[in-house]
Amino acid sequence: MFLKMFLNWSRNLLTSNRGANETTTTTITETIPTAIAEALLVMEEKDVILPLCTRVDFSGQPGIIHQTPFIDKLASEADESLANQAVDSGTYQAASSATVTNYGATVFLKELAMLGSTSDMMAVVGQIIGNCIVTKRDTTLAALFTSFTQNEGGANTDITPADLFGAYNFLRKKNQPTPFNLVLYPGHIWGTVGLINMFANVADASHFSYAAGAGQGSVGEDFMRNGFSGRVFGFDLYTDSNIVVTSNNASGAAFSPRGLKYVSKRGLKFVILENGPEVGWQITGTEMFGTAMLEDNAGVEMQFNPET
Amino acid sequence: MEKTKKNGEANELALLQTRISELEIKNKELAEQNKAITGSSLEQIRIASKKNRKDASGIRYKEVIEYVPLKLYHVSGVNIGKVVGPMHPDNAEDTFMRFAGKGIKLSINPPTEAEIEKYKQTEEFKALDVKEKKRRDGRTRSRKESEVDRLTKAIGTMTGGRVVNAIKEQSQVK
Repeated sequence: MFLKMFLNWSRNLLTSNRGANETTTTTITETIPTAIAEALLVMEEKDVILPLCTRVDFSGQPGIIHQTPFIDKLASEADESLANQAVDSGTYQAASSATVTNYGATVFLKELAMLGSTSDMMAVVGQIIGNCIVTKRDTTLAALFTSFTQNEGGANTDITPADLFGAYNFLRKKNQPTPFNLVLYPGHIWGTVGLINMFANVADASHFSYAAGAGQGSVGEDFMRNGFSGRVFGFDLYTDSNIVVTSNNASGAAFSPRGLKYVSKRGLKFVILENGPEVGWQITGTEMFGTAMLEDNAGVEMQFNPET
Repeated sequence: MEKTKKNGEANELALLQTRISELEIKNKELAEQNKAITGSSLEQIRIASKKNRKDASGIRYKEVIEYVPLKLYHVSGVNIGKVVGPMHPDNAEDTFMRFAGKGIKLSINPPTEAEIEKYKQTEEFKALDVKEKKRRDGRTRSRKESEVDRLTKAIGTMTGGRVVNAIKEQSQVK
């Protein structure tokens, strides 16, 4: 009998496709709770343009419209024309006005969501609101690029070295203070018809003429080594994905710090209200600021094909 | 007698087989009917569940904005139809005046395709287009023209106007 049992057991062990200690996976997974990692927020472009603008602190002062008047310069000592006197009527541009408004977001966070999450949902909500405000600020400033009257590019036009030198020429002629900043959509730089093609060491239709003869140069090597170059054609180069693309057109800008104005009335503030009937919290985060083009001659729209 | 018995058995067998196939068909029909009922009931439950969801664990989110951003459109010039903005209404007003001072017309209403086509037939547009093309040609030349192109053009000029199409490597010269 024992021999028979032993033979049955060894037969099962040797012929069955299950080991002695194995069990079905179904049973195991039912007893293991699902582990959820902390959620990742979607990445956004943040605050590229703000550091490049003229910043005005409007806090603690009355009013919600900040105006910057302009005064004409004197042509020369010998010019006695009334139009060139440095008083009222000699302004070449109307005052730049920025109207301060409230920007932000409100989030309703249910207690159930908070208790059911492995992340600290309050912190996540704060991050969502902060991201929203920062992106909104960058988007608002980027949208002002199209309000410069000088445009070096055009519809469905590929960027060329002469366009960049044209922008540099314009800013120099208007005696604008440096640094000159160039903010472009990523496709303007790394696209198939972008800036990087100007530094290719090939004799084809997409390079700056001197590169073919002399090699890609140190700027080209920067692109090859780091994927980016901080300075090109006299400009500090920045890339901003918040620039809007519409049917093969995207408008970046080359500008001096006098090109755009950012007026801050009140910094970031959070208000949290507990909502009993809805069993949760209403969290509102806002900033008060205004943006405007400051000086028209301090900026050049760079409207080009952003082909990727 | 044995023959009759065998015939009887064969008949019974045939009857049984017929009955079995009938039952199989009916079984299949019942199973499909059940599936349809189950499927439609399950679908109805799912639809009702979505409709009646209270979103108990959801997070509602709304942006705070106190103005409607305005877009302006070029209604003349080579950039007709181009968007300016969107921006704050006060900025839109200032932009309108600034562009007007430079002779560029903007409008809050986008020009229609018909209006754009009509404008492109005007003398004003044709003159501006010629000027813009000349400007772009000059700019694009800096991008397209290589040392080789300039060399071939120079050779062509020196040899009486024919542009050399290609410059051969030493190994290619026979």
